[in-house]
Amino acid sequence: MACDVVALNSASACTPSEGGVQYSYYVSAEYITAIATTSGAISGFTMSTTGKWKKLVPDSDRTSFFNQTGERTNLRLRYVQALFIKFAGLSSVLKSTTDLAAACCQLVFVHVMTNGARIVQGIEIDSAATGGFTVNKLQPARLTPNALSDTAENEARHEWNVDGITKSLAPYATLTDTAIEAL
Amino acid sequence: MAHYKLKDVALQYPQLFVNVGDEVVTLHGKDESVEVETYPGGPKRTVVKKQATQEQMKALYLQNHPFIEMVENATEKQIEKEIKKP
Repeated sequence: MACDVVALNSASACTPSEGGVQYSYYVSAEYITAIATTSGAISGFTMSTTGKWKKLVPDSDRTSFFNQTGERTNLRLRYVQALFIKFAGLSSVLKSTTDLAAACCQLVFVHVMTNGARIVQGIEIDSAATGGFTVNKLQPARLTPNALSDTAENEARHEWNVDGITKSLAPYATLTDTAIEAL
Repeated sequence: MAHYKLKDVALQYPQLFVNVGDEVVTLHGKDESVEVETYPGGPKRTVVKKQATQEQMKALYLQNHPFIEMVENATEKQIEKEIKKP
């Protein structure tokens, strides 16, 4: 099969490139039944019930990230997804919210990046699958939290680490906040 | 006349909500009243998610929605039958 590559020019594109995650929406994957796509980006989610997407606004202190690290062994290529966000404080509300999310077996996030891009963690586009997607093909996105008092020199906090492994880079989304919040 | 309808594979779901642009509509053949929080943990209000129109079904079809199919040259009787299906 021919492998036709495509040109990229970072100098002429002049794309804003601030790193980091500004805020995110998340939901348990069980509620997503299908996706719609436009030019390879997710333009719609179909849900089996409404009101399940919730917003996460983490500390805005330049510590949040969503990284996808490629690992290749000959023809095997995969991406290790890693989200890190944190919420200041230790409280019963933070604990119970964190416990609920950590109990979910398959999470899906729409991360609104600082540069405005919207990236979807936790699913892969697969037109042959029933709903046009699968959850991460190698390891679903799951939350591993930390609740840290730290010392009086630092901030007490809940940290959210969401890891997963995919076969392809995370898809982008074109949904607005209004659409996600109405779903 | 082209008509857009839900594929049989989607009939397993009692309810389906989908965004078409910023608007959320249903695909299961009827309007739904749902309660939404005005803000997290705040009071709830009832909003109606309307059944998708043919224009919205077409928009989803053009977005490669896996649950929507087009029926070419559908007769009015066929369309009526599909609308009554759910």
